[in-house]
Amino acid sequence: MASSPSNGDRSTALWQYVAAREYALPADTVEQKIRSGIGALWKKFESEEAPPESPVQPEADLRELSRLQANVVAPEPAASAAAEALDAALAPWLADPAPDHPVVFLVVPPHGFREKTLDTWTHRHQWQGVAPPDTEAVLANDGQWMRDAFNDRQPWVFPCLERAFLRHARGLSLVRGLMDALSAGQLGRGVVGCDSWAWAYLMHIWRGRSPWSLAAQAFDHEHLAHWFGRLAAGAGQRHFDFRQARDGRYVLPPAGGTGEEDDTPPKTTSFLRHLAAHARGIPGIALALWRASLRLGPEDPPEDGADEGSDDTPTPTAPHSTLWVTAWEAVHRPSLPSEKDRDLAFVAHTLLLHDGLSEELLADVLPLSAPRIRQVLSKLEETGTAGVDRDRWRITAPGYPAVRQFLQNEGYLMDSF
Amino acid sequence: MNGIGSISDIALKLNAWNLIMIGLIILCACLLAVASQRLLPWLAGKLPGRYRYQVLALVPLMRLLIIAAGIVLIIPHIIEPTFENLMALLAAFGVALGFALKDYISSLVAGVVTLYEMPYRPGDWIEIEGAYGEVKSIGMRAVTIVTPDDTAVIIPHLKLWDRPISNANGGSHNLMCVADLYLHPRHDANLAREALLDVALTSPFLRIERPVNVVVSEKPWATHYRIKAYPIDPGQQFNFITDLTIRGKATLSDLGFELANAVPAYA
Repeated sequence: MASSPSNGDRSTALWQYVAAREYALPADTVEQKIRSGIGALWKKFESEEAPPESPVQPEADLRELSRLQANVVAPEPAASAAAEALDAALAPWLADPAPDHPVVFLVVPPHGFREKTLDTWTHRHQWQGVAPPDTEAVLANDGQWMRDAFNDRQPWVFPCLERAFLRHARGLSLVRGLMDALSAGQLGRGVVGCDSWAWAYLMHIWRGRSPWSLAAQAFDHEHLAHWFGRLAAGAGQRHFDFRQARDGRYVLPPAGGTGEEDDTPPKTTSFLRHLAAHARGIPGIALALWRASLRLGPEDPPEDGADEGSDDTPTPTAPHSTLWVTAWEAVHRPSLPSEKDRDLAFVAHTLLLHDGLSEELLADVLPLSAPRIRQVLSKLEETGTAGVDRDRWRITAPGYPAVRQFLQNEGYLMDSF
Repeated sequence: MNGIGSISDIALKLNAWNLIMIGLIILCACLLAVASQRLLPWLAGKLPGRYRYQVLALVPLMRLLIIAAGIVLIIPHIIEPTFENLMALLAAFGVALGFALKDYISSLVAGVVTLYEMPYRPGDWIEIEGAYGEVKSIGMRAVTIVTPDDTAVIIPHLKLWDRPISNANGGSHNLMCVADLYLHPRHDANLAREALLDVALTSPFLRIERPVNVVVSEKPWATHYRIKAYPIDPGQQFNFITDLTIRGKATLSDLGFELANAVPAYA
């Protein structure tokens, strides 16, 4: 997401905000479904060249990147480009002194960098940031929170609507009142961020007119290639080639060309197509799996004493070197146990609806005992599909596709993304 | 039996070889029927919920196909399959079996009717003559349901002819559940109704895409609230009703409503 002035336009184009109803999944998702459905049969008809009998880089010779190395090669993005794109999408609305819709809703799936983007955007515009109500205020339908949070008439940004409700018999009144006030324009002009799962639920429990909502467009394989290339380039000092360990083919177009006389870009593998489809175009999920798929070759020196607590910036590889990418089939993707487990579905779905909850609140909203909830959370943690993040249990980025598929199969309410 | 040969006129081909072949065909058909009866429910158990009922519904259909194929394969080993011979055979069997096994045959015929009328399918929750449960299997003669108390009840298909059959979900996942609550008559009914709607909307069992309603009616001794909603999984209906009842009572108590505790004088 970090952009240099020379190619800022391209970088901004990575992030696009569209009306929520115009959101489109990566086109490869259908292919991905077919692949997962008929698995081995597909391989017989696959158009790709067969892998060589002896891989270019045997998996056994490759090493995983440490967290610090991964942070250099595929760092967590800054939010400036996404905020610029949001600016572009909101430009007509910002320019209009009396818009038809005083409030814009930004609906983004989990791990879509929503809060980070809105924080950056809020600082850029010097709008007032609205903190979410605490749990007691939600359950008590405390009108004081709304009066305090939106007291002055300056424009505001409320980045986490999902924190304004709890799926509890007494946890919906506050958010209904808030949505009524927002849609009636009583709270002035503002931007509301909301997780896509919470949004799907709110659209069922709130009976108002469908509000104006934007969504961050999904990343397809071309977007991912461009994005990963820019993240790896950092400030432009590094050049990494990303090649498939199995056959040596490029996963991203090489940063400095192939060095051969014929300078046409080499054909890249289908790795990013699979990644985009599996991640449903959600950048945070694609990035997490991308980081998990990268390997260092035996020629790369081991990290010299750059442990996690060191202040020294590590140099994982030479300024221009090759990073190897495991085969898509070999990328570790967390999965859920195959047997049906109602309680596991309850916990996973509740975590998604609230974009994470503490163990105590899970016990308040689910008809399960505290020990049972701890047991289910442990199970989710073991499978890598959930973990503690900022004092809340959340579905992890790599585990999200498996959890979503599981809940969809079991008939639970889904988001639209 | 003018025009068609009687059973004595049929040229029977019952020699040792044909008898062995008939035995083998019956054995294969039985094995296939048993295999389909076990494999398909096992497969349905492994599949995602949305495909489960479709696969379960294939069980009786597969058995019918196997039986039909078996009959078609056996007949040439018994008689020359001419029109006259077939008609004579059917007439003879019809008369003999009709008297001896009237109810049995009636159930068999009703079993065939269930395949295209589909008054119940595996996975449906049905009630026949007071027995309520989930259809586990549909045989040629009878349907087996399992009640919520885990008791298997085998009901002959012939009930289809003259008994009402209640089907709660009709081959789909949509099974309405009703939770009953009674409040002391003096209260704000609108507030209670809104609270109970939220109780339903916040249940993790709820299929939220389906309508949720709370119906209120007045009794001489209480106000009767009926929460009507659909669970995600019909098999969870009793847990769903339990959840609605427990949380409904707790929510109403928190809001200061008084639950009715008077037993009707005429009860």
